[in-house]
Amino acid sequence: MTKLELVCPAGTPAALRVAVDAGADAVYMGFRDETNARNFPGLNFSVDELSEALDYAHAAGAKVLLAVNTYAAAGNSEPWIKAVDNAAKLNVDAIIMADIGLLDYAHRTHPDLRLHLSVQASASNAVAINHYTKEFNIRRVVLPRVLTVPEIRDINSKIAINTEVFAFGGMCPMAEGRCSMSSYITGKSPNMNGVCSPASHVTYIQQGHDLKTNLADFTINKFGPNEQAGYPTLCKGRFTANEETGYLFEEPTSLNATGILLELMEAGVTALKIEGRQRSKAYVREVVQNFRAAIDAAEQGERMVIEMDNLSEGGQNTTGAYNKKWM
Amino acid sequence: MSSKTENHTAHEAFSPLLVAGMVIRPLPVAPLNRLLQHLTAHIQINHPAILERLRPLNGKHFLICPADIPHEMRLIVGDGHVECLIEDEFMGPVDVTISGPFLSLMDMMDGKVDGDALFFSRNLTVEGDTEALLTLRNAMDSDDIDLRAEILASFGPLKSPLAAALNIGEYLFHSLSRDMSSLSHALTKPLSNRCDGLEQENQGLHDKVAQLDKMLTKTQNRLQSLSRKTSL
Amino acid sequence: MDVMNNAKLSLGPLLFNWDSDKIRDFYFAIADEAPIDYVYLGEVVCAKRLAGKNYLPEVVERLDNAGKKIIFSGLMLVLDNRDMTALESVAAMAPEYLIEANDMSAVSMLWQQNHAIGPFINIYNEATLKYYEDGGATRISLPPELPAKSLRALAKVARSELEVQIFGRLPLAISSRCYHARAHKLHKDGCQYVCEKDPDGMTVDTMDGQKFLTINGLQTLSYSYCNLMAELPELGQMGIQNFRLSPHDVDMVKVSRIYRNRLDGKIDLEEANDILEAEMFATRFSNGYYHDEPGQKQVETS
Repeated sequence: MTKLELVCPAGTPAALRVAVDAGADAVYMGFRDETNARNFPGLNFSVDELSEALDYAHAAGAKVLLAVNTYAAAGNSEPWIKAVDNAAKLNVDAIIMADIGLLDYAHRTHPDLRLHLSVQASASNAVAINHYTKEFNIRRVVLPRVLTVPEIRDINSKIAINTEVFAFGGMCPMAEGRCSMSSYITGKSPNMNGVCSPASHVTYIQQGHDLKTNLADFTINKFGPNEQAGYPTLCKGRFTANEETGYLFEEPTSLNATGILLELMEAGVTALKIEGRQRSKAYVREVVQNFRAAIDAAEQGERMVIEMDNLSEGGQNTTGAYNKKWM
Repeated sequence: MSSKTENHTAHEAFSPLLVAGMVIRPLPVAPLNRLLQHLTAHIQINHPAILERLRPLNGKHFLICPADIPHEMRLIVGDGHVECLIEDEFMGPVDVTISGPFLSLMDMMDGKVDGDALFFSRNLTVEGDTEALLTLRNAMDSDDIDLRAEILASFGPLKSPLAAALNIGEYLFHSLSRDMSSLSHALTKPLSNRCDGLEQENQGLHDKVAQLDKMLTKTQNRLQSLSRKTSL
Repeated sequence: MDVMNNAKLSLGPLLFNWDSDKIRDFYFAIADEAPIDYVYLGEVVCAKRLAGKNYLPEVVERLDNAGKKIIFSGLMLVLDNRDMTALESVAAMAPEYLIEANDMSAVSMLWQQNHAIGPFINIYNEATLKYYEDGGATRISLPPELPAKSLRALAKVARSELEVQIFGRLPLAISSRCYHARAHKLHKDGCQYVCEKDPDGMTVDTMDGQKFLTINGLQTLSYSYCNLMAELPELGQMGIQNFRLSPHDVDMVKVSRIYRNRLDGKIDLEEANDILEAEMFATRFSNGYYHDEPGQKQVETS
């Protein structure tokens, strides 16, 4: 059994340095435009910043993975093509992609560039993954957050490439890359714009001691005076269905897989991904340090459950779909 | 609110430390503004990448309201520069207001604590242009800023006595900050009770409207099936 | 507008969990009375719903006899062995029938054979369109999220028949979690098939009573019903000739006639929308995605 690789988020150069210093095996980031799925204001890297990031990470023995994981726009694929070309020119250790047209381009134009299949491609079974492998020689797949541990084990027994799974952070209850709820409400979607429930459409309204969160004039949630709040993401809100009001899609909660690393290793997982390029470097520091310890312990066959409720949405955590009870 | 909390709050209102806290008076504005000027100038010279990330915010005004000290600060993003001033009442509207305990705000700026976590736990409240706030937060977080060190560095040779002052100040502040927040809680309590009352009234009205809306939907559905039947 | 006699109407796969009798009656009416050219059949949302359904042979026969072209649609989210088995049995009907792939696994099974691609496969640009066409896709139903400028750019280079949904609630998301079961405080494994209680999906409101979304088992749909009546001429000018009506628990025969009459120039836009709105009283319609606006918006066209 090989040691789990720890793949950490870097929304900014400072977060990258923090992640590397805290023990990341690999760091992932995106360019500062719509070519990546965390196209948030003030975040991400210029070409020059990526170049410096590569030097810093490589000096510490960490890999750099570039996410170009949104879908290129019809009639305007230039920014995506440029991102792929820049990644190849700078010699990133791998590029994480979802768009078939781009995978095809990268595979043909830069045969030496290592390709990872983004979670945004929603490859949820071995047949789909093997298709991508055969066609584009992808070397790793990031699995969608809708699979159970036994399902992951089954997939690993039928594919020949690495699997990376989410281990901490925001929970997407929907199959990633196949959700346009955000654009239905705000006009901006993860696939086309690299954002979900974008801040530009969020309003916080303080009503006495209560906090109301609106997304494009739709009420997403209301929190009482001492209640833990969550992101104003539209699938994490409270809604009314079947005459009851509650968290219909997902509670404000974060994924935390520190407690099931042994099971994930046993299921053949190669790498663990920490979500949160939009989070601060304080978050990155704490989560990476904790996972470094948990992975090192797991290598010795020890289970180390680390609670990080202070960093979690709603102050709670879950093992999500890894445990079938979630469904 | 549970009766337990009521008792607790009542106890706080009579805390002798609270009364001690009340002797802290607002500091004179001019030297504070000079300090802020020094500080922003210093940060701008040493962290040009942050300014680059702030570019989309040209013209935005942020009001920073530490809940536990008597001054509010206004941060104004200009074209390639930022300005920070002590707020006064003639300064006009702001785009974003951010409030929270002073040390939490400072730690967030430093990258020592996670802003989202502060927000989840309701230690931070924000109002206004959410995107602008996020841009500011992300830009500040994109480089390594140690506000305490920047304050010292910006004053050059004065460094060590000021360092001592900062340390003592912070020590005192830490020990007082808990009581300060209790004080503000105690002072705002009557108002917040009134707000809660209004809020309840509002909620009642809201429920009524929702009820009416439900009835309307039902009526519409009935009409719909009726119109389907008649058209057959 | 120019008469669009060449335009074809298709009936998308039924997204809701109706019982066999209701499905049978529905398709019999479509076969006998609806001016629809293509009919997509099959379960795309949840493989569990296939249990005990026995309508297919009769429905296929009736549609065949009526001269409707049948396309079989595959599942959109394939996770476990049950899903994979369901999908394989659909794919096995090729090449006798055209199969619509809605997951990459189906694309892989149908690779280099003639097949259709459904709206749950992400096609956002020319290179991706070309990739699927090179792999044997002859009929492609595009994601509902695409704005007119993307549709135009894709239509310009397409070698396959492109299709766009012009009527019905929009599919927005799919999950491994069942929201119908969750709303009834049930686990997915013991769901008691509660999704069959809502033949048009279960409405989701915000805490302030705003109409927000619709849930349908594992799927989330829009609250509003897409209606691209006004956009038909422009779509035709782009070269898009296939228009999908997504089935709902309304008189779909009548709905399809309204769109057909409009395409044939027998009624004008205002009249067509008036009849549709009278038929679907108190329904909220939207066309926002087409106009590069939030999907829930209704953009007035003149």
